[in-house]
Amino acid sequence: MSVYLELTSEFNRGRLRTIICIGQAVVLLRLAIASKDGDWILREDQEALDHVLGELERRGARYRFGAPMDLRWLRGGWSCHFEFPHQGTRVRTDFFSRPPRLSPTRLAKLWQEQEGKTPPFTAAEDLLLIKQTAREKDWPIVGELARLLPDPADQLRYSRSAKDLLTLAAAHPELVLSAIGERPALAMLTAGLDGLRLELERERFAVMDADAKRVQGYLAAATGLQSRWPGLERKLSGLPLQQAHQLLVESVLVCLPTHPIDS
Amino acid sequence: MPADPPDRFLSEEDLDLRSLTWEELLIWWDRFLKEAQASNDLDEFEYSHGVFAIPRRDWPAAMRPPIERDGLPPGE
Repeated sequence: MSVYLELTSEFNRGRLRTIICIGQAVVLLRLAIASKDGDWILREDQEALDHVLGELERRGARYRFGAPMDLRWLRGGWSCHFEFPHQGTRVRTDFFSRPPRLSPTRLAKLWQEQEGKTPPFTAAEDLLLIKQTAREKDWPIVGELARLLPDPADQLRYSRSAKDLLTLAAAHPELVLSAIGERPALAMLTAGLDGLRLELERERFAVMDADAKRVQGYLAAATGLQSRWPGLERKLSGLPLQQAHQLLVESVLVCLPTHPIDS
Repeated sequence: MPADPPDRFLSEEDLDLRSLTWEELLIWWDRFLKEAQASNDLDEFEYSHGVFAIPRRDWPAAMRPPIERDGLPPGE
């Protein structure tokens, strides 16, 4: 069994605390196997954090540069990152509780929908929003995820294929007007294939730029932690994870803001 | 006249995951994770997701180790 499924089972023993997302969710949606790291959306409550941290300690995990697994930073949109060896492989685990571009309503619905699922993982619509990053390599996945959406109105909102959009618009003309209201690029449906393709690229680059700005904002806010990290990493080295966690929390209180970073 | 081909985002090989049984998927998944370890040295400092997930070369210069920033090992 994949180590990521094992971990998910351990994290969720007794109750749902984590939902698989990003690369390993793409595998579970049977689109591609393209990521060697594990990413989870973490439930924002102290019991969930304590349990997951305990499981990671049992695995011999250590912190990588990043925020501590603490509600204050998670609520601010930060992510925390760990690594441990497993049967000759390097396993990396990334966590956040506020996935980018998912509204609080969508996030609450995701937790409801995944209750009782084994394994729990992000559905196509949530995943395609999370995958709308500054990285070129995420966009083919976004394009294919949009094709998994069962509702043609949602496909009109998210499709990356000009050909698909022209076909959808012809099959469902009644949906187009309201879709244009949500997605102005669809106004170019009347401009033909090339015109629509160009508009889709403009739309994509705008989303990529917004994500790059978001990440740069967090990086800029983390410079204080970065300057302390080499010394801090030496202090954390060899400590059991939960002990290292306490030390990290005390150390970052003075150098890593907990509030969400505006991009 | 041949039909207009659809836009392609992923390869047929990728999308063929849909034809695998659950057990076959687990085998491929595990095999990929093992083979992907070959690039561990190349992505030692990279973050695949979260708030640091842009290529390390695009991080502010002060946040990159000297070896990445200047092409020199630390201390040289």
